[in-house]
Amino acid sequence: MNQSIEKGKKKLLHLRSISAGYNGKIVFKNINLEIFDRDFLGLVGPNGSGKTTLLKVILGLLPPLSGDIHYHFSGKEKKALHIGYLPQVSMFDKKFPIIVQDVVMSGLISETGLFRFFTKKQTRQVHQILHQMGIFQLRNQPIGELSGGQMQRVFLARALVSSPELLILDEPNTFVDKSFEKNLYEILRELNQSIAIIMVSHDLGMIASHVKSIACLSDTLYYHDSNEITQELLDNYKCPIDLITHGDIPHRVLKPHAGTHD
Amino acid sequence: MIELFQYRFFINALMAAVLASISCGYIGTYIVTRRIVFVSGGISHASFGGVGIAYFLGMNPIIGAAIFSLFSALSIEALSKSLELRKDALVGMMWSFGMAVGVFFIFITPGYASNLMMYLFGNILTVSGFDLYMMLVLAIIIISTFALLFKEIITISFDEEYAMTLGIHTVVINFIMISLVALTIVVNIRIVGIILVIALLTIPQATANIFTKKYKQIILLAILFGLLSSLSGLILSYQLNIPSGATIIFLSIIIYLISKIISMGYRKIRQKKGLIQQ
Repeated sequence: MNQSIEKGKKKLLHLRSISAGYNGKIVFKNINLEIFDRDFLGLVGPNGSGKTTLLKVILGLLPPLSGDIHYHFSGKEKKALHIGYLPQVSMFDKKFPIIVQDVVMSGLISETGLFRFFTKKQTRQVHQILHQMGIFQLRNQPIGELSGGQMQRVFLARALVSSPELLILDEPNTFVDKSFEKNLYEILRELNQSIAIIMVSHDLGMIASHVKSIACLSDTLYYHDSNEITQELLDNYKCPIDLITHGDIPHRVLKPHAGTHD
Repeated sequence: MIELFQYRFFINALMAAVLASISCGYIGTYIVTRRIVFVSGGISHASFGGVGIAYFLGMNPIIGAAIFSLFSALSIEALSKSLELRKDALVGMMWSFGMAVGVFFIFITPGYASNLMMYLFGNILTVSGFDLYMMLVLAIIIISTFALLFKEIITISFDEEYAMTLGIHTVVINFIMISLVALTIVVNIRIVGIILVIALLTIPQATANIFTKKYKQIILLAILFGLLSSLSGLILSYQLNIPSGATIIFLSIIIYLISKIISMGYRKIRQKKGLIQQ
């Protein structure tokens, strides 16, 4: 729970006693969370615990019922943070007539402004990120004709094209093929050298070895400043989630090479 | 057939067909890709309430229809976000409420509602100069809106929530677009009528979607297919003395079916060629 060790790092985001919900029904209450530069937070919790709702509050899509959010950058408080967002893949219309390049291009809208067209420089920027994600050859394909993994790459490219200060991923490992999953974590590790990441998952075991800290959401948020977590600890936090390990050691997930990176 | 062009009404009808194809090509593509065909059907039928009230007050029924369809479009947009009511239930209510108001006021209006059928089923051969003027203004507004806001329109249509995270003013653009939908419906009521207008907004797009999966190309092809069916429908209905609205819609469905068959045949041929090459 102690985040004061992180003093050397700059704060990006501060949620203070946030409660949120829809139509007067409260999903969670009294959440406190601080995100620092180059954090990699795994946000876990059972289905329906409000993980996506919390993301919506952070993204400014859903005004909280109470509490307040502060955004910071380079030590100064600002009105909003430049956030790259990867929504759940299942949420969009797969028949929509849009090609890959235009999907990624839309990530640049906020810096383009109303009544203006995208510039050649922005097109080059899009091509560069498409190359980086290994989907440049798909740029003229309609989005609906791609595989789940390819779509995920497109949406990651859209989230990253504008060089965000914080990257938020909602269940990035659903619908993804195994080969891309490994790839995805490599990409994220590299990105994490320069930006902070929040990753949502309902499967703690799946993400524990990739993140730096873990937060569990049930009716409020329990923060754990490490990715080493045990079932006992989860029970202590009253986090109703089972720790399914994908390694040899039961009930304990460790960093693959503790201390070698970061 | 050449002598037709000497008639004022025929020239008007031709210009109406061109302008209707343009506005329906753009707005129909928005409706179909945004999946608000049902909402648009509701707006169209709700406008009948305005027609009825205008009859009762002795006003131009198209003005009444415009007020009613704008009112229903804006209230569907506003209420579906704030009320705990399913959007389709709300649309169903607006749809039937408008029709009921229309029936009621036409019933209590003394005398025979002379050209009521024209508003229900349209008649491209009786389009007036005023109608054409409205259609022209609308077409210009629509073309400029799409030119200026294209990237916002396509981003919101594809993924509204993501558009919000990008800081796009989705509420404002949604209101602008639904107003354009309402106005497009009203203006084209003169051509095919309240009951059939939804066809002009969906069938050319469905046909265009057979050939392309790109938004701008769908708009362009939908305009062309709309033009093809409305012009041929206009000539056929005049020559055979049959209802123009229904004729235009029959033709656009026939064009859709022919396109579908051609594209399926083309695919088969390509598959066969592919097999031979292997």
